[in-house]
Amino acid sequence: MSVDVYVASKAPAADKAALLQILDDVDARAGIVFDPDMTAERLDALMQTQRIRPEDNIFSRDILRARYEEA
Amino acid sequence: MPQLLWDASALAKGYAPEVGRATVRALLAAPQSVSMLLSYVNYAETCAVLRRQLNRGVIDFAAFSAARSLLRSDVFLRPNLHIMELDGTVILASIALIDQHNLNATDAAILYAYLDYAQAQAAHAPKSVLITCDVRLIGAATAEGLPTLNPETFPLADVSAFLASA
Repeated sequence: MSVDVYVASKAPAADKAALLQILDDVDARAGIVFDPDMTAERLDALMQTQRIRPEDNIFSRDILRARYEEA
Repeated sequence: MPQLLWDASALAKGYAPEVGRATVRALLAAPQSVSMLLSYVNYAETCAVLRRQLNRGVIDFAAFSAARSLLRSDVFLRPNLHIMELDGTVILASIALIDQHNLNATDAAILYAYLDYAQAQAAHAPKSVLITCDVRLIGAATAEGLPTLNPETFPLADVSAFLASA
């Protein structure tokens, strides 16, 4: 498994195994069972049931609002 | 082939029904010869927006869990996607971008690191392109000489040609 890290600094790169362990812990705390076989198509099928209008761009607009109050 | 420098505002489109989703998925599916870069902060920002939509009832847990799994695989299991760390020297130097472009601190640090990365590449290296739909970030990057691609307006039909470009 490859996790390449580009360091925009002089700090040492994080240990790859440690990164994946952190992600496992984060997922476990959130109740997420990480599915390495998840695909965009399967996610698409799930999202189709959520009544989200694509033209609202809810997710990306929410990121912009979190960055800038006036967004 | 260009190198893709991801911003969370664009990356998040890959996990929800949004305008530009197909373009984002096509970019993420680029061949391994296309190098990509994402900051840890942008990864966390994308995780956070998924959590907020769950907490607001926009998506259910099954969709949330699936999106987080796919995001994790996209970022940590793709050999051509590299993760970028930011340290204090980058954050301090990026204050110049805050002053110049009215960016927030996080965006400025990431843009500074991306500019640093792009400028550090050899002259013959593939050009670096910032993938974002944040208009303010697009303006700042353009002013600093970093090309951008907005997946909301970039046609899916043009992705292959873009990825094949120098």
